[in-house]
Amino acid sequence: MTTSMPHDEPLTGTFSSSLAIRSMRVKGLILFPVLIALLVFAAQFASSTMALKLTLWISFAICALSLDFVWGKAGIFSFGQNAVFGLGGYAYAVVALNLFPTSQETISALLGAGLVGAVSSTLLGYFLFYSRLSDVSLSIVTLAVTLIIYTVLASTAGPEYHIGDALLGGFNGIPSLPGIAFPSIGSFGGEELSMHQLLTFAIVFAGLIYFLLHVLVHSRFGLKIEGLRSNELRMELLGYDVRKLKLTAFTIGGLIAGLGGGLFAAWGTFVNPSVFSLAQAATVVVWVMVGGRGSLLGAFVGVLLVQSAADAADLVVTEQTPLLVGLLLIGVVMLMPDGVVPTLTRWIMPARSRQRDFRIKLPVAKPGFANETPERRLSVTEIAKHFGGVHVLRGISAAFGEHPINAIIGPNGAGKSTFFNILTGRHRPDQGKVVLNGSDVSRMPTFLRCRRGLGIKMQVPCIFSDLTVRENMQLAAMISREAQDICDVLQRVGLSNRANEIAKTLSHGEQQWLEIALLLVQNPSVILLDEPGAGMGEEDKRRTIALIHSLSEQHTLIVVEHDMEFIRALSAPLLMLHQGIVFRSGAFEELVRDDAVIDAYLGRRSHAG
Amino acid sequence: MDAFVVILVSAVTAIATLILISTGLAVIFGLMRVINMAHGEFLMVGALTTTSLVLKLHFPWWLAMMVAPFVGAAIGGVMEILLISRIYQRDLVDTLLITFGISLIMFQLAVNIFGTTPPGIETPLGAMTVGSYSFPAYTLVLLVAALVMLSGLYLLFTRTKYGLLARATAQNPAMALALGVPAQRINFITFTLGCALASLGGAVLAPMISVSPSLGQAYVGQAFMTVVIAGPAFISGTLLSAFLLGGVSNGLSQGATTLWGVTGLFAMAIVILRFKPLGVSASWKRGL
Amino acid sequence: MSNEAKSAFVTGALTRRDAFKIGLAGAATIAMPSIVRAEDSSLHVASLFDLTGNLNIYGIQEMNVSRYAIEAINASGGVLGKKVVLHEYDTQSKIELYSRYAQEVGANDQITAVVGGFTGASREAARPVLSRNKKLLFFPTIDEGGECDKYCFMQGTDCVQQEGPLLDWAIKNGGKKIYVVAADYIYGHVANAWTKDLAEKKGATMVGTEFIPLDVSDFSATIRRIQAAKPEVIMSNLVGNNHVAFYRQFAAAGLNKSMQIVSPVFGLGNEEKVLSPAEGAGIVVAYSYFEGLDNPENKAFLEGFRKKYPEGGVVADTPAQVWNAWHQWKMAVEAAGSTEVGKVVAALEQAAPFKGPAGEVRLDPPSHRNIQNVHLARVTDKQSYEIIQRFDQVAPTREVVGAGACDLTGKDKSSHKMINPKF
Repeated sequence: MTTSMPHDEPLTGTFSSSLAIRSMRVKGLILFPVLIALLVFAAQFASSTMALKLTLWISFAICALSLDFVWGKAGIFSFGQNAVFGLGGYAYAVVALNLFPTSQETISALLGAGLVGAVSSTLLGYFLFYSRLSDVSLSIVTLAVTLIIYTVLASTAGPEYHIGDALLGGFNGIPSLPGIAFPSIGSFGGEELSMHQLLTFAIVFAGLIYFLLHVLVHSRFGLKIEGLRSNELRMELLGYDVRKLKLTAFTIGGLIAGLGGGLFAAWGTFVNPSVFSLAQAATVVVWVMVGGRGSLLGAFVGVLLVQSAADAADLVVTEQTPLLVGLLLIGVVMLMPDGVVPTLTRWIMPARSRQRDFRIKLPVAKPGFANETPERRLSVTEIAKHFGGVHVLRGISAAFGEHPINAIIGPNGAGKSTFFNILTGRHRPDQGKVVLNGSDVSRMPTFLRCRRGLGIKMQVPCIFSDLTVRENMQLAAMISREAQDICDVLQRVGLSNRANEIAKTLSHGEQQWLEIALLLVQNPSVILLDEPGAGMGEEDKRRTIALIHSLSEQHTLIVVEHDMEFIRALSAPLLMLHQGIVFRSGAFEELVRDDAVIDAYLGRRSHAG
Repeated sequence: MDAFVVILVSAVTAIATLILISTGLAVIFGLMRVINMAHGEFLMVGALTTTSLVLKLHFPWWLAMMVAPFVGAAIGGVMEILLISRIYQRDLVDTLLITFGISLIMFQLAVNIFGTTPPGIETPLGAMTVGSYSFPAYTLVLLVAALVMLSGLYLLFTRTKYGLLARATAQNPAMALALGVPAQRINFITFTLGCALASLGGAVLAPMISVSPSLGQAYVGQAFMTVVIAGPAFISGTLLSAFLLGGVSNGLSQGATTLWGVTGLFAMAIVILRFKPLGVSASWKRGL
Repeated sequence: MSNEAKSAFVTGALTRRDAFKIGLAGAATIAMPSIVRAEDSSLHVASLFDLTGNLNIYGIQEMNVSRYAIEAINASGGVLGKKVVLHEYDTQSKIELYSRYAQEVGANDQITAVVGGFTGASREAARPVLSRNKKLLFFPTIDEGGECDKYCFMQGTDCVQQEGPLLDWAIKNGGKKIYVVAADYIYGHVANAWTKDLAEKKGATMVGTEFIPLDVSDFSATIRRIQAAKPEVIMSNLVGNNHVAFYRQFAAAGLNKSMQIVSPVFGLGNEEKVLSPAEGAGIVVAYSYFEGLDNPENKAFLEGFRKKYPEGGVVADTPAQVWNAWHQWKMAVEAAGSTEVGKVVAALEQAAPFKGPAGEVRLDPPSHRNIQNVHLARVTDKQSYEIIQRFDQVAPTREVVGAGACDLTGKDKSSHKMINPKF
């Protein structure tokens, strides 16, 4: 059974809307080439000035598109897309100068530009994403890289700085580049394009890039990228290698920016280091911001608006261009923070913006549950962990799996959170082992543990707030080898009639259940729950307890909780931590009568471990 | 031996310069998590105020430098009230872009008022000689100014009520609000303070460099580097960061060529970030 | 009005820096395209100058003199009896606009000649495009040589024309030990190669060389090294706003009392006004033109200029070369009897002399550079220049350092590429 379940959506009209989406998709496929053809036709009537201007703007728009994708779709704010754009330009220059005399074409140079863009982004991305930089540091580091490239390239003035026949030229740059020329096939090609031919080429080129990107964004990969942007932690907890995803997205962005840079170099027949300046770096961000990040079309709109404003500013009040652009920027940020395209879309077609179209086909779900797999065990041996001089965990050993539900309790400072993090993989133990279903996962990062059958539910609902419930589930199902049927799971948690709602519109309790549904669809052997009753009212708590009991039929659950009533209702064996060791273990009734336990909770000193 | 002294002076100058140009940014970023892209323009405001007061109104240089921070504070204050205070809750990027817009406006206004190459002021206090070398005596003023700036801030943030409230608001804004801390007023003071510090930095540097509206652009890259490397402890972190970056950059300039010095600063920054992504002071216990 | 003319008119932004002062004459000149276009009995030329942005201090003065020159030409009957129409492009100190406007001019059938650019980078962005479209480019700024383009004419003095006289004077009046500080880009490197070459020939020694990136303003390391090397003369090829700090820090360390600075680039951007009188005094520079030159052509030139631009400020060498450029073009067109570019080039290469405000200039055909007077001047303690020596009719060099020679009238007539110097 696949994900589209027409029979299950009686009231929300999703069936008809999904049909509508499908027909829009078909319309889009035909509409798009027609639109491009119209633009090409109109382009033939443009004046030379217009043709030059538009070609330049198209190359800028491709650069903006790359940032739009990387930032708006993947959530990576890079202050250095212009650097990749510039490297693409330089790559075009170097390849063209070396090859054109013999090959009489520069398409190879253009492709070379894209390649250099992709490779440089991969290298930069590797450094950025595999070194735990914060968001802010990431943006500054990308800026720093841009400035370094600027400084380095501006100092390549000597004749010794050359790549093949191309002299880098330092601050003066590389002049006299050949324009775009197709390889000669019969009577076609073999010479540089004229101004209008170049505009035509640019329109088709940009159109193609946009189209491919559009398709990508609506594919499985596109959904993963959305998830990444929406909640990186949850992606990790579902088992996604988020660093690899980021790297892939960044590389794709780099490819696009590189291609844009190649077109830019071909247009101006000249490159120089000023494209790496701070002003240019900020300008790219301005384009995307004004047009609207998150909307691919916004890249084109943003360039159009900002560049026309910059050109027009000079007519309105001469010489004050920076001032007027500055005012424009402030206006947009204050009044239309999402950018022009999303804001206009919201005004004109408010309903449309909520319809989303991810063409996801999931593999057929495995029937049945984890009953068949006997192994649902998690054990830890002699876990010790210290931070600086503080020994938080001092030798904890436990085995979970014999009983379906296990509760971990303890007073403040006992080490519960740290222990939980050792189980999830957020921290590595200094000593000891964590074994999941027979494999030693002590050194494994979280996402790999999740792939091996560990489900993790955080205290604060950790879901994809701006995706629909269905999309949340699709993300969970896509990566799991044991994916269960989404409809069934939604039914179990009671969310089937909310499948097309954006997750953040759900109530707090519903969000918690959605999170549980995400786990269930992956069919984990062991589920860790961090304070599942937190922030719930009585009614919701009862439902949660019932859900936990029902889950325990097929999974092993480990619950960390504070709420004693909640724990009593679980009827599970307890593990009590205190000052970093296992203080007591046993049934709820036993511990509740134990004086030492009460002392520990109340902070009395008579039983110091 | 004299060469060594002079090299030391040069290194100290480089470090002091970094401190002067970065502290304002560090305060705003450290306490408010706001990236002030107009920071360079505040350096420019301080420098231009100083040169104008000296050349047009014949102020003594040290007096002009004391007036400059107030001009910066005034401009920063207006900025904060009108624009920045409305967007604190928003994305980091929004403040970055607004301040970038403001930097464009400030740059253009400066060009309109002063032109692109206004006259500058001489370096006061003449030269000091060590053996066969001489260097401007004013470099000692730079050093003193940098130290006074940092220690003054330290006292401000540890001994005054404002300082305590500002640090509390930075650590836990929601809690601070719940306790009745007037967050709006605190943020206003912090932002204005940061702008004043930037202007002071520019003012103190003015007699050593060429002052023009594009001054900001020339220094803003290094200032950002220093602040990001500094990490959460914005006073002691900035000190260490300036020490590392300035020291390495100057060392390379002295030992090799100036080009190496410039590239070296950025490269060093990247290396540090690789191992200490949140700044050198990230794992320090000291909060300032 | 066709799209081309309209758009040229529209993008040819007016500078309003001295809005009220520029007056109707300027406005009328610019408005002319719209009136005259229909008849097409006028000649069209263009200018590419930075009227806004960082480099506008150079661009605006170039623009002023350009307008003044065209106006003067029209007032005395135009060229071949026709009025000259100037299309102005504001390149806003942005390199890509040089590319873009060069392409526009290239596509414009009417425009045949362009005066433009300030930095070498800006020239290189425009020259290949203009050349490919067979448009003449006159480049007014001093430069380092290496240009070898049939359609490009270099008005400014080159390294040999400036550094030769400077070194002669420096050796006689300062000493034989020279330390070079140069901006780290092509101009700086090539200029240094020439310095080395010339210094050797004149018996001086280079005791040190430094290249400073364009955005550095901390010269303490450089000054320390200078003091260690103990030169008598500093040859400065520093460029840009940030590099002015060198002179300031140099003076602050007291070195201006013991070492003589000579420079072929100081003063292009009114650096003598940016520095204080004490800091700048004593620096010796070499250019073809100074305002203080005493000859009837200069007197008339300045009188007319001040009338048109009373607040115009000091006229430096580069704007003066713009005047020469337009007049030399005019002479060539009249000699050729047409604006057809091939004929004009041939006429220019006939090397008819023209008496400009700095004296006579005459083309050296193989190099497309002018033989012109070079004056040495010292910065006074009143932030002005006093002329101390004159070198008559200094010839430019045809040689490109380490890479042969440029011979545009010789056998390789098709050499349209810049010869890259090897240094």
